[in-house]
Amino acid sequence: MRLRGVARGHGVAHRLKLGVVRVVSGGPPSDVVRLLLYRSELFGAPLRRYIHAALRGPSEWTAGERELFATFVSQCNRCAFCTAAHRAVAERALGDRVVRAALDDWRSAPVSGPVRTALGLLERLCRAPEAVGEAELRQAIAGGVSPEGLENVLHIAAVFNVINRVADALGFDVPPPAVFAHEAETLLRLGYDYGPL
Amino acid sequence: MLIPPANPQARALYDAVTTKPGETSAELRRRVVERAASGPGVTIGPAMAELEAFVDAVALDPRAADAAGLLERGHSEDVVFEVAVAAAVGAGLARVEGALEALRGLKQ
Repeated sequence: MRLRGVARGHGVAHRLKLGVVRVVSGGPPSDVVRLLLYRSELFGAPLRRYIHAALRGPSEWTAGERELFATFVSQCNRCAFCTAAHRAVAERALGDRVVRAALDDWRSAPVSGPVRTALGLLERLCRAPEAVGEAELRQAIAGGVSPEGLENVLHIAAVFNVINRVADALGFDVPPPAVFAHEAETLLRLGYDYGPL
Repeated sequence: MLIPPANPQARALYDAVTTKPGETSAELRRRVVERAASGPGVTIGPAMAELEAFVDAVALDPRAADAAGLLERGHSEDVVFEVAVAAAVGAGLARVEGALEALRGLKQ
């Protein structure tokens, strides 16, 4: 990460939080954790709550499907860090084959009709967000997604358009896939709002 | 102009980056959010060309954002952090603003 002070730990409170994460997770915190715990009242805490609500809040989508949407948005934005991180969680929930197929070609992937519809909408939103209006949303509803499900998909797109930009602008280091695979089970089970931290 | 989000978690994020105390002023961060959401027609302030270029890159091509250059030219890590997250929030929320507005219309 290009902000070395943030990466190392900046101030007593930040270093203490990073120490807690190191003990609980059994390894060094990744760059996203380092950043989200840094002066968290300004960005990290509300962003974590937004991510948690979008990916783990009440929804017609499973956690695995929403992790796939997060991965898809991140891949569309060419964010290597977020793609690898959320791909590991999606694969844990849905299996490698389904996730690989969806990321390679969502049109032919072995996913449900509503998931395929949501991936198509996310692709349009990535390529031409200003062109997504009532007609596209009506088409998605006709494809089996409820208005509430659509709203959830749009918030996943919003929050990953935020964190993808931060990750790439600040140059997050991408750890080996094994590191994300190790974290995937915990993220799938507990989500992203780690309370008092 | 970016409309403050209706969703409570999105609104809390927007409020945090535009109101919390920081090394940069809350007013500067509000302008950063607006520029990232609306484009270069929004100025951040006089003699802010290098920060404006950074904001535009975060919004449109974040891999080209020159954080290291800002640090070399004397901006602190806190300034770069605050401007980067504010720009990302403005651009990220703006990407779905139209679709969410259309969805609200459909629900009514």
